[in-house]
Amino acid sequence: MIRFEAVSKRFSDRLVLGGLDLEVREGELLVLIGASGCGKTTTLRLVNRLIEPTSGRVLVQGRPASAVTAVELRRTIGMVFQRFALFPHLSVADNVGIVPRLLGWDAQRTRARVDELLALVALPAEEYRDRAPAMLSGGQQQRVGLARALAARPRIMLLDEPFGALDPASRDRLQAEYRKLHDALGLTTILVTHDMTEALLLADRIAVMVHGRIAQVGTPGEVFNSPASPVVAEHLDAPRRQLSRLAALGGRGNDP
Amino acid sequence: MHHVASSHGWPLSAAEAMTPNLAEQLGRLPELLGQHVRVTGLALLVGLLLALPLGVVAARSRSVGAAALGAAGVVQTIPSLALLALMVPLLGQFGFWPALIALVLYSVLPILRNTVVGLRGVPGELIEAGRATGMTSGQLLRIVELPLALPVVLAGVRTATVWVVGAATLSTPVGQPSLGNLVFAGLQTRNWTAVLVGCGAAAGLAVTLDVMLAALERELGRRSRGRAALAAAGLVTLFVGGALLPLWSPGVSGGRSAPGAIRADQSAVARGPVVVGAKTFTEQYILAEAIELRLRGAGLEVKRADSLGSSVAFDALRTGQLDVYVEYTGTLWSNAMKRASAAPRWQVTAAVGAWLAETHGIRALGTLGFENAYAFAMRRDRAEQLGVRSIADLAPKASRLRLGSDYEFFSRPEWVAVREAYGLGFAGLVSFDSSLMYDAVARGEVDVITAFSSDGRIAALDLVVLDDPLPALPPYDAILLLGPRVANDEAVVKALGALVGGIPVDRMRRANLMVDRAADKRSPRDAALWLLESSPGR
Repeated sequence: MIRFEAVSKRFSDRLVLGGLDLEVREGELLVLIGASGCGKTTTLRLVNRLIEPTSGRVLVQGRPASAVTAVELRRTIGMVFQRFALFPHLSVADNVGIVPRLLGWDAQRTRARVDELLALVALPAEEYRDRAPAMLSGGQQQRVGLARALAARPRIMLLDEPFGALDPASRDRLQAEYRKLHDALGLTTILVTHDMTEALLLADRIAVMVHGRIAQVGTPGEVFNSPASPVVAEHLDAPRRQLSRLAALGGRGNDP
Repeated sequence: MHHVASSHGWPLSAAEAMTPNLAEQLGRLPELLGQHVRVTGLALLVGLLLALPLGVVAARSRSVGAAALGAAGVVQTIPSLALLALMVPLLGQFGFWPALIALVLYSVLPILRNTVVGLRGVPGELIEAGRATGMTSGQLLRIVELPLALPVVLAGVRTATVWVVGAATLSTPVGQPSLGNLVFAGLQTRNWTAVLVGCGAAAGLAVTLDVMLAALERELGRRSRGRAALAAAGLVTLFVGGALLPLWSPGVSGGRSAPGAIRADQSAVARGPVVVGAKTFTEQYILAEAIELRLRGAGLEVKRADSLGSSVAFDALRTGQLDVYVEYTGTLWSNAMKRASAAPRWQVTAAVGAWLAETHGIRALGTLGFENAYAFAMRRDRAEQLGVRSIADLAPKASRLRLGSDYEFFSRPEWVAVREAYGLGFAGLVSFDSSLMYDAVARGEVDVITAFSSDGRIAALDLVVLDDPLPALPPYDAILLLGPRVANDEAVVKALGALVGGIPVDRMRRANLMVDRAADKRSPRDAALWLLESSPGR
């Protein structure tokens, strides 16, 4: 569905990606994980050409990403941002309907689609369509962000730390809901995070990035049970500690 | 008799004369306010249309941004009066266009700067989000960047509006009527009511526009489109309504007119209105009124261009945008003809007339019968105390004395000539508005002034005029000039011929004093009527 072939990216004198090879399969949810500055967000942005590679190529649905104009390409790919990035001067409905508007849909069709999308992300349209983004909680804003990204029925979704700015309760709920949406809509998703617990929970496959290269790609089980390198193993420290702690607490919790 | 405005306190001293005077000034208000709103509104509109796209380009390109903001910043450092004055020679004409262009240039900086700041202030993640949804750069600008920058842009428009409304009062000296006409003429004729009406109207206009723009800004900030549209509609109404004000105003059409004015016989006019000019002092206003009265009396249509800068008036006449005004032979002799030495009165008059006809096709219809010369004048007690009777006597004492003059004298060749001839080295040189220098010498703030010899205040304040024994200063006969367009127009020549030689200096002084004095003040029109009635042979 998406393939990176020997992609490198250089920002002035800093090499962010050095020969990246990665394939994202149709219908899978791939989590791209790594420390800050490892190049995971850069990788994500290469897919919808918010940035262009210095060398190598990116294939989207079997064709080079550069085969169509960036604008056409982006209208077929949804993107969700960590800080939501809703347009503050537009209502919820106008935010969600932005891509239909760009595509020139008529008002009736856009309205129907917006209502449908708001229902999909569990925001009742009658209550939320005319609100300003600033009047919503973080979780609600990200639901709007998700609905906006899904508006034109994209087959590919790019999520840039989508749950990072949410409180734990909202995060858990939205994570689970997104996983369901992904499956129900048959999406192909790349989700960027630095949270291994989130990756283990959501991913079909996890790609661990270290210094602009892929250190390991595998199912959560493969990565968890046999990390390919000490650096990958380091990412697993936190979930492991959590697991043992929870086991210990669970033991005590069983006491009557 | 003391003519100091502040010591009289203008609201009290003028109280009895206030009502008719106020009525007259308010009567002129619709026409001038309308002109003011028209030139201000158009300047802001054009400024906005220029600055907004430039700001968009400048926000995206560092180099264009630096260049555009730099250039606009330089324009802003030019004083507005100078910028307006510069436009006249640059465009080769006076009136509406130089005023408009100067005001447009003036309005560009705040709008440009705020557009750049506003656009650069749009959060990067929103731009990224816009691009990610597949917006083209035009759509991104229209849907995301401009709406988000709009409140900041509007704040710039507000700044520009207040600046331009203020600066537009200074378009009077370049020939564009504005509320400045009331301020300039009022200052020159010591008519504080006129000054107040002009200032008040300008301030009121600025405040009204600012309040409406603030409302627009606030409602856009609240994203309430209905009320924002209402505020915008109010602004448009104000500009359009204001611009049409002169048409609506009863009894006024085209040029200015007043109760009792003799109306032109429209059917008899094929040449278009005769444009009559006046420089920025009382005598000029009175003479322009007298010329207008004579022309209208002959059934000619008249347009007035008041409060023109000295060189603006001559250039306008030369280029055919002005048809008639009164100049002074010495001014042309020294400044236009660049003659350094003085010469006898008749010789200067003859030389000036010949030169005007040969080089510019201007007809000197004749001298009016009086001189308005630069006259070194002192308070009588001070002159007697120092034992000064002539400019020559000043030379040894000048290092302890201060000389006051109008704006232009110290940069005129006459000053160089008189300074060199007598070896004058004053302790200080002070430039005043000419209407204020008489008070300054009367109060002792300066010791000597370069008074105007036809000014009634010389006698009224008991000033002594010092002799010029050499002489170093040329004669300054008032001379009636006809521009190329009407130089051979029989009707004009016939109507104005009667003024030639008809105004002796004592009559001009009395007419000037009627307008300039604090008590029993008359309008320039009244003084002109008196001048025409009292002239011998009429």
